[in-house]
Amino acid sequence: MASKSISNPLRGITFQLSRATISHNAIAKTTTTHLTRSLTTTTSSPPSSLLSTYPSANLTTSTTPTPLRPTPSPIGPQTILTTLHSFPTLEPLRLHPYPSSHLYLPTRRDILHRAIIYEGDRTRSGTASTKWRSEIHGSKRKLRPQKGTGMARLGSRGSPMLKGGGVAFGPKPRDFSTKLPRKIYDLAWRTALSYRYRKGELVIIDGEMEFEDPSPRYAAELFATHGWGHEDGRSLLLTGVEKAARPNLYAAMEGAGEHGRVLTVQEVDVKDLLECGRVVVERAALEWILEEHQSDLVKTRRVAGLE
Amino acid sequence: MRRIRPSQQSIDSLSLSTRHAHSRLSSPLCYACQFHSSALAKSRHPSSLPVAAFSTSSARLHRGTGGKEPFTEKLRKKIWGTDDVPGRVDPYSHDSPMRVTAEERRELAEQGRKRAKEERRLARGEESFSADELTEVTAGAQELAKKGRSTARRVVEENEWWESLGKRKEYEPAHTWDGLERVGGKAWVDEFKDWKRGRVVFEQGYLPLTKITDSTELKRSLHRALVEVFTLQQAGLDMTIASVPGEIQARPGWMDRVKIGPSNDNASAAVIFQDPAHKSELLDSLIRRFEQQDDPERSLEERVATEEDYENGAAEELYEEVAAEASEAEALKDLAHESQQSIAELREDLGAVREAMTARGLNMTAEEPNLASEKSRKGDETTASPSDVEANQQKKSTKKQEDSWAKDWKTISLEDPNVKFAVVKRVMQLTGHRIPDIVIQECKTVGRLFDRISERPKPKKLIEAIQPSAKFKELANVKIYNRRVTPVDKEKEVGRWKVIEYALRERGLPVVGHE
Repeated sequence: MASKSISNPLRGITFQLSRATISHNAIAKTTTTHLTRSLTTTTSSPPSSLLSTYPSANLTTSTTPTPLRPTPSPIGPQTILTTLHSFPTLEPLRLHPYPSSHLYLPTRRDILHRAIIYEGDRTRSGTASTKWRSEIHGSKRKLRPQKGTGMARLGSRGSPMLKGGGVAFGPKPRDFSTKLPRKIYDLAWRTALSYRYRKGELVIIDGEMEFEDPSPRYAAELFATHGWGHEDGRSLLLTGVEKAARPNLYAAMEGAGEHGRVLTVQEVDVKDLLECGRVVVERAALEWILEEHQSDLVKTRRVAGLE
Repeated sequence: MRRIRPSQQSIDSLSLSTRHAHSRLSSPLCYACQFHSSALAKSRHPSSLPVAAFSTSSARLHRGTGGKEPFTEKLRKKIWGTDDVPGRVDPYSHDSPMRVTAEERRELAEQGRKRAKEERRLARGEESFSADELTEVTAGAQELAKKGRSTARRVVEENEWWESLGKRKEYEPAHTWDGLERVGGKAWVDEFKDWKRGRVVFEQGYLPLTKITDSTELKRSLHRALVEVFTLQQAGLDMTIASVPGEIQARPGWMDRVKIGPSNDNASAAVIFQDPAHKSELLDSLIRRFEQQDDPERSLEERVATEEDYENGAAEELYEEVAAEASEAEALKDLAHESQQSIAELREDLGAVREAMTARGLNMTAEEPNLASEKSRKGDETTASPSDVEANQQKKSTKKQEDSWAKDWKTISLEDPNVKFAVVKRVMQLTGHRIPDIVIQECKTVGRLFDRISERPKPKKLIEAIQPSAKFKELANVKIYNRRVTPVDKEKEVGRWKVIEYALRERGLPVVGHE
């Protein structure tokens, strides 16, 4: 079973390759026009001059000695390299590989959009509330007789028609959250990070991201030096631990909001990842996110009621 | 506070008091303008300030209120809780013992002069002086002692102040700034940079603050990085020691003449030094820089020196620990030494070859046999006549490019992640450009890396994007502005703006925007 799942993309390649060889044979047989189009777009046909010079030679060949083609683009590299930096000097320390299924995904705007809508719905507080006529404080007594006064019919003083009465069809507290399959949401997380990686806006810090000083001026200087600040579209700093473990960082960033914001991995969501000019993330935080959001890649059996 | 009625507090009293205070002034000006240079200095004395005339201190108030107890006095009584209030109402008033009277001052000044005269005389060697003078001096000294040492010191200081004032009378205003003391400026700012409420200042990260944008300079930086990294690789050293954090050393002049190109197997690069001494020099400087940054030797000595007080055993243990740390650096040194030896051997070989070649009437530059692109040309050279070779060399000298880059330099492989990282890190350090991960990931060859780092950054404004193109310059009906063309600009263009502005001002209306 496992071999079947692995061979799926490979089957695609072999299929493509066989198509390609078929088309080559077809060219060799016709030998008249260059109009024949290969089914694959990436392969290059053998030089036509050779074919026209030696048509018979090609006609008789049963097997084409085609060299092994490079890996087709749909598969691409299995791992990609990221640079780990020191903090705060941002010296590149070493290269670190990550699977391309985690940080090198194609940018899918539709998936990012769905994730953001999902998050937006989920974060709506939905606390708007009005009183219906029955909830209005006061007596429910009929104000005047139904008939005979020459005036309009009127029931209780809580009628929506009267001033101080209830609200007809008014808002009531409710849950606005919508649903999104977990696998899609997890794909959105990795797509967001991959987008950052592809744009060169993902800075990974090896170790702790902590300032030497809690002053916002220090933060502003640091941001200006690295080109992270207000001028360069602000930055999101992501820490893997709670706020108390990075007191200077959080204290400084509280006063340097125009240059960026700092969040813990528990607080951040897909929209945050896409908002600022770049994401500066502790390696531990990045790996936590990647590990948490890979449900579409790993097989896990979730038992109801257990995490 | 009590308000002083105008009738009691006439401006005349002010004028009188100030006139009295500045009676020595040659030209009393109007009341407001009495503050010219020397007068201003004198009037700093609080009691002589015109403001003092308006003082609400009890002495003045007492005069004005005709024997009635002033408010401040009542307040002081309340504060002290007794009718017999100690201290003075105004400790700085004229009659306060805190002050020295004018007579006393004169007296003291005279004494100072006498003392100075005495000193001069002593300096001249005259020890004898008249009895009168002696008594005078001793009397003055006794008087001073009576007043207490602190008072004396203060009085002397004040004397000096007055004397300095006298000197300052010869003040002449400067008409040019030549020779004047300078305050402020960039140097001053740098000097006082630490004055930032005692906090930590972040000044520089790993990268230099200025980025190199010139394409030629970028190429030279890339060349330098490649030469350094591949030389280290061939010497079997850690390639990242080229890019340890620290000050960037100046580029050696011979670096332009170091040729680099892909190696035979295309997996690495071949570096050809014109003079093999340059190779050892380069390795030497790189290793020295690395040691300076880490400095395990120095720390070893220091730490052992400081631990001398400890027991012998402990000190030995410590020494061993530190030595283990330093062993890595030593290993590096050994490697460097080995490489130098091999270089020396190579040099000898080359010398022998060169001699043989000169014997055959050929000129040869130091070339390594494993350079792929050079192979064919080298074969030509050996068969070519000497004059052709000379012509070739002249061409070489005219083109620096050819000196530093072999033909297929763009195909030098960066597939090895260690090499790639070392090169990229050094390029970052030399150029100031941060190379993003995606570029590092996608650059398989040096040529691709160069293309990516020399890419023009995306323009931030439209004008930056369209200005280089000559397309718009030819069009007569198109003008390019570097900002939005406002209605004011349009009015200015037809010369109507001055009229509009005048009309607006005449009516008292805001010229631009609203108030």
